[in-house]
Amino acid sequence: MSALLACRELAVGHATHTVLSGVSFELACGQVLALAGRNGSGKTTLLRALAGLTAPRAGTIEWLGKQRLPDGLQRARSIGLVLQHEPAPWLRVREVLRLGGAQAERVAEVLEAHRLTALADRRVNELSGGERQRVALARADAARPALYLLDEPTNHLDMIERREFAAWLERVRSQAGVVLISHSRSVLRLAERVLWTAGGRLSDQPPDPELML
Amino acid sequence: MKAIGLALASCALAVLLAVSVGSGGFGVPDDGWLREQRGLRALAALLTGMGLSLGGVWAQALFRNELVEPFLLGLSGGAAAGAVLSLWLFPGSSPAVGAALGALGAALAVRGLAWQSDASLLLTGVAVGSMTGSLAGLVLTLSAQAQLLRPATHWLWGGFVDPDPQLLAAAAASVLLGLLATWFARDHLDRLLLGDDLARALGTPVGALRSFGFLLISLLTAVCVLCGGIVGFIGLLAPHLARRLVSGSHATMPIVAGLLGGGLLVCSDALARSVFAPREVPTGLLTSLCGAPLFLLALRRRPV
Repeated sequence: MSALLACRELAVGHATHTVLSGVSFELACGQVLALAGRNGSGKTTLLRALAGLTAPRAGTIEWLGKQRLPDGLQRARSIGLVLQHEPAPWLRVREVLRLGGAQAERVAEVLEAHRLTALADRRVNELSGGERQRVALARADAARPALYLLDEPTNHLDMIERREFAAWLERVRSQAGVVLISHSRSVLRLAERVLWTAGGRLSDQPPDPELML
Repeated sequence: MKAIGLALASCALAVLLAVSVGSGGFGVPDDGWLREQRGLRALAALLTGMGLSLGGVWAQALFRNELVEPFLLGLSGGAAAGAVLSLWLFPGSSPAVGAALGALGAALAVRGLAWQSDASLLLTGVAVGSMTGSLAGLVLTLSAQAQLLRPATHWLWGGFVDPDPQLLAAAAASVLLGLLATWFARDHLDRLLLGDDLARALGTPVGALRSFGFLLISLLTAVCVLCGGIVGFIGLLAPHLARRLVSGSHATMPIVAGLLGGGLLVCSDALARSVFAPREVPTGLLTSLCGAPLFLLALRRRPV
């Protein structure tokens, strides 16, 4: 079976400098891969490249065996992206869930699955941080993407919502692959593989033995 | 659909009011010429209000800020200054291109200088508007051309005296283009509210949409300024009202905003020419007098 995501000798960074280099890994359907490391060590920069938002400085990325992400709504069906600091729009929750091309039936299903039915007609910019985070996860979920890229998906979530996130992750991994960034040990333990960013490289070993899971 | 019907009905009522109100009191005039003049004037105000509202809808989506509109971003001032400069430098030619370039220049200046925060966006808009207004004033002071004074005063103060039918046709075409473009781009505009990165991840061609949006706002602002001069706050109030009536999604909100903005400006113009009759107050002055306090109220609720 071909990988959902394959990186080979990838180097990512900003306009003037490389943050991470020599990044190579593959992700198959059903796998959860976690990226961990100190703040500023390049996790989000790598995730943005994996989402096709920035071009890598070197190396290649393949999504479902292709070096280019599809255009239009097909892109939303390929990648479900949740970012760390998302703007809160003045749209209703129901309207946000439709943005990836989901039909009304699927929207109702996702609202139910993420316990958002009661908030469906509220404006997102009127919701609390935890509610907004659940909307972001539901939005990524609505298009049934093959690959989820989640930057700190449990931010602002309370203990019950974190447990619900773990259950949701268990459900979606049966039909998708997931790359997530987290600083939480309990979230990192949900992943089959944790890759640590340190010193401009990606490694299976944490940079500090104290960080062992 | 109910909201569109309501907005359409309020628009029709506003036009009826505008045709009926005059210095002689209230009632549809028997004089056909007078009826036609008032009707044309109401049409000019309607199209200008619709154009400014659509400009406001696009500006708010592109900047992801509910407090911006063509006037507050300095685009209206840019269009007026462009038109005045154009008439000064090329007296025989149409000021339309100059107005459009003025609005586009102001839009690009605001976008380039103030992308960091809401506060810097509004302050840059105010600075650009002030600069372009002063530029137009300077040209007027330095110019010895008497024929420049009347149109320039009209553009800078705002009003709908003696509407030009050719300009009305151009305004109608621009508003129609604006409505169609907004309809076709409705999902993309919604996605833009999630931020550029997520919009891209959801398949929206952000760069192309932004470039098209700035061109469209500039065109709409230029035509509106040529038609009715600098008219502030309509582009801010109409989308606000529409969002309360329907929702923030660009599926039906823009058309409701357009109709409400058109109706508001028709009423404002009818008031401007009748409240102090036989004297006429510039319409732009009246919309600023009423719109500025409402803007301050919105600012209180949502500090930048």
